Amino acid sequence: MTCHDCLERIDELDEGRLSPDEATAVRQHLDICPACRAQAADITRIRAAARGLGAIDPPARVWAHVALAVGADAPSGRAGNSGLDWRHWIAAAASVALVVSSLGWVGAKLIPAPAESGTARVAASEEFQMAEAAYQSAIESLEPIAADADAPVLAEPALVAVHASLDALDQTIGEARQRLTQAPDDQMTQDLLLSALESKIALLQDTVDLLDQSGATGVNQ
Amino acid sequence: MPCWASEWYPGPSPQFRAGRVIGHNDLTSKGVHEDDLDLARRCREGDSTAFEAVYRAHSGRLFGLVSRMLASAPEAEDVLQDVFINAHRKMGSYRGESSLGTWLYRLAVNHCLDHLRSRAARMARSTESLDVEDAVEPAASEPRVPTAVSRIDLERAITQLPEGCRLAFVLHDVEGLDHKEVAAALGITEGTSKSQVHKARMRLRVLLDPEAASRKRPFHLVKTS
Repeated sequence: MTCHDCLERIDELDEGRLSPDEATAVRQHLDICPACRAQAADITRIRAAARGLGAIDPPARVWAHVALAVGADAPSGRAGNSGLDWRHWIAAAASVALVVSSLGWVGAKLIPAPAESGTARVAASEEFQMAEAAYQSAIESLEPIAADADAPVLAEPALVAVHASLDALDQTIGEARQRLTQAPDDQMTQDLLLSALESKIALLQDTVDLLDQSGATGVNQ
Repeated sequence: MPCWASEWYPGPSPQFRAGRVIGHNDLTSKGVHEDDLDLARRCREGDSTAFEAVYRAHSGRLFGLVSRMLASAPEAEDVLQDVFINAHRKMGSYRGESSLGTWLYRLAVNHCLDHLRSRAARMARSTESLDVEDAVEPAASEPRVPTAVSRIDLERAITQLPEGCRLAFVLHDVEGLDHKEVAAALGITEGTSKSQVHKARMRLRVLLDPEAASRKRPFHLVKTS
């Protein structure tokens, strides 16, 4: 078997579409050919990663729009709900979650930037670190307020939206920080991290505002 | 090369649109999906909690599918909205012959393909050929793709695939459809499906190669000593 024959059959081998005899022939070639073996390994890795991609939660505003379009009413959650319009709130709060669903697209089209001097890079790096620290500080001041306030006033869809959005944002923030440990100057990842932090602040602020309106936090009373 | 929508990609086969390809054999022992039928009936009767339950159960999988097929988050949101609004209108046509999830899945694929066709017509993308050349890279004696591919990297790489091979790859490798199902969904032959998936994998092999990425890295990301 030649490399050409082997490469034509690697996909089929990986997908289990070869007869036993054909599979044996391909494997025998792979045993002696490092290049074909490398390609086969890569295909296996790509397929495994692709299978693991799974679902992506849409931003909550999608449901808000759908619900409005089909004339659905708020589900029968807690009575009263302090007169809060959960759909309006979801649409507003979830708008910040776009950064999460946009994760795969951020920077998909890399546009070469003008070359920067070493001084400019250092300045940009310091600017990024200052921004990250400021955002983190804001989050740390908002989180206890949002967390301390037991939120019985929020309707179920709002609670679900808050938790889902925060979880997704935290995951994004974690992944971005992890990537920055390997590539601290990756501007795309820096932008992604700052966007996620901004989104988290906005979401926490919306939550606090909403709880405040309902008198649940005691803030500004 | 003219726009791919009219040349390479004629669209789903009548069998796919009629639901006889994907999910054709997922009937229950009773022959119909009673629970889903009941849910659909409640939706038709205006039970908003039932429709929300349908949305909650299926929107994540469908958004993943739509996002990857379209490679655009904003467009994916619009299409997902259309899918569910359309599903609500069409709920009367759901007969329980396949699961509600399969029925919605088919609807979503069709919406995506319609959207891509209209996008192509709008933009007259003559520059984006589906006849993608295989990536010309030197043969490597070691695997180039990292053992653990990051989700972020893979999602990003998928958006960089040309539409034809991206669609085939998403439906086959991500969604798990076999080539016959992919062919029916896209209105192509099984051979073309196999070829497009192969091209996608070869492209991804380059896109996911950290060394190739560093070779092509924009200069503002290149470290200087």
